[in-house]
Amino acid sequence: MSNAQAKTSGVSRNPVLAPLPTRSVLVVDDSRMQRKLLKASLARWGYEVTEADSGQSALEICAEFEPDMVISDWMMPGMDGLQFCKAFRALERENYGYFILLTSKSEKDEVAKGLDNGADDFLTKPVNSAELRARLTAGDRILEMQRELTEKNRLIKSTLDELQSLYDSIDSDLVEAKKLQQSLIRERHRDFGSAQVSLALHSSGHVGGDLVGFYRISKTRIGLYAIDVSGHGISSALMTARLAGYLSSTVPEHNVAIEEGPDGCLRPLPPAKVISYLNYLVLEEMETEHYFTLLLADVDLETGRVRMAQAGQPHPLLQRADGTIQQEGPGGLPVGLIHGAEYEEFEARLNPGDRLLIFSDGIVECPSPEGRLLEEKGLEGMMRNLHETTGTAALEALIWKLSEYAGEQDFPDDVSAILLEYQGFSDTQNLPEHQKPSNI
Amino acid sequence: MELTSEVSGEMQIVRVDATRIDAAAAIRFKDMMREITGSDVPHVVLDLSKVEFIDSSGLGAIVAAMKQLGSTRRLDLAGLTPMVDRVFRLTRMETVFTIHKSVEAAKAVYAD
Repeated sequence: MSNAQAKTSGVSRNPVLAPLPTRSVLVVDDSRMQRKLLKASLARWGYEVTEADSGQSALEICAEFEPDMVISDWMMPGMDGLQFCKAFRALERENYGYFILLTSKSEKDEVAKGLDNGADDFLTKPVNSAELRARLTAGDRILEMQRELTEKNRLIKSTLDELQSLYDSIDSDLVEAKKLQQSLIRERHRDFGSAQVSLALHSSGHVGGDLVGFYRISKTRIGLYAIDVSGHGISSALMTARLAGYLSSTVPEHNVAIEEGPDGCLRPLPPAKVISYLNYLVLEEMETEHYFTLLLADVDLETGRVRMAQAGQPHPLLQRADGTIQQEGPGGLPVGLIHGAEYEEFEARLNPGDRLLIFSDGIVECPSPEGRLLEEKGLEGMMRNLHETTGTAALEALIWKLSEYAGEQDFPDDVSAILLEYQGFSDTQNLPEHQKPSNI
Repeated sequence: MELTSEVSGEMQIVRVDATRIDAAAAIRFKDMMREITGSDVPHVVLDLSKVEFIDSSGLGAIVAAMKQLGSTRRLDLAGLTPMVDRVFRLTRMETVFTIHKSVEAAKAVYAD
């Protein structure tokens, strides 16, 4: 800012009576006497004067240097003042040149013709010295304004260039950040034998505030989490990275949802308790304006029982083997808003062929080009159509359908989902590790 | 976004004249709420009947506006439109705010 001010502070319009700055004036007239008269006045007022005796030689001079102003007679043999003016305007110049035509009579149609051909002002012969000076001063104001404008444009352009390069460096930084954020999701799909887990994450910008993931707790238990940090910019993305650190590991020291049981085996903590604890952590230990919604699920691979708690995240969608769909849940306060928030648990029983879709509000709140939100009903329709499609293909198809719904526009919010597909626990999966089929 | 305020007795009604409280409006909303609720009227009712959409940032801003009032003053909500009602039920905001069907209903409560 101070730099910009320094650059423009010297630019102020000259009051009319102040001494004129040194400007160059090209005087074009076939009459030597007329040139001499004009030159005398101009030189007295401090102008640098160059002379030309014809339009043609004036053009040659203009090829050599740029006079600030031109005073040209209209009636000249060969190229007349009007033709010269036209040619003068066609020249490539750095700055505007102010053109005054000298006429013997100022008839209206003549003046109009002159203006049409690019003249800025007129002087009638014989030239009155006071009038000449006044016209020059007027021209000077125009040139000064033009100079100011050029200077300001230059400033704007250099500022724009600076912004562009800043933007470029932020952009390339964000591209890297995006790679890092995507690496928070190490696997898009895992086969747990009796169940398949697939993940999808699509940020609306380079980086986003959504995060989905899973962790194995024991042979028969896995955990799933879907997080949506408020906002979807850089700070939201940083928050997801921090939260990933609390939930993604498979050891109790680095995962707030796992504990070691008395038998030394790892077991899940109740999802509602875990969310309450995260709420405490965010409010007490993180200095942030952000909060997040979360759905945390504890999946029993053996029985198909899914125990969940929901902190403002949309209700999960349960699709039975026969295609029927339910979307229910008790809801819950988002994490990091209210001290001492408590959460309710709820359950889904998956039978073989059933599947559970956990997703962020970016899906149900995705608008159509007319601004109509997809809502639960719209998602239900999409999942019904995708009944036969499974795994990551189902999620990819869902995002594809969603972008069809959104039309030309990008998703306004981050979109993420977890698909848990339950096949049922077969006896071979109960076999001790060394007797298991090798694909598990 | 505009907020208009009307005080009657113990109650101040703040009407939100906007169809969205989203990330773009959240900070301004919070600041305007701080200004407009600067007096010490004990019950502030936020009239959301014109608001059709509230995103996570908007929700955060409403909670922040409640916290700004401190522990002795209350922020109630009134006139939730269907979409806003859906978000508020999902996030169990009824455990945090008293929610009235309409401003008239809120007036009836605080008239006594």
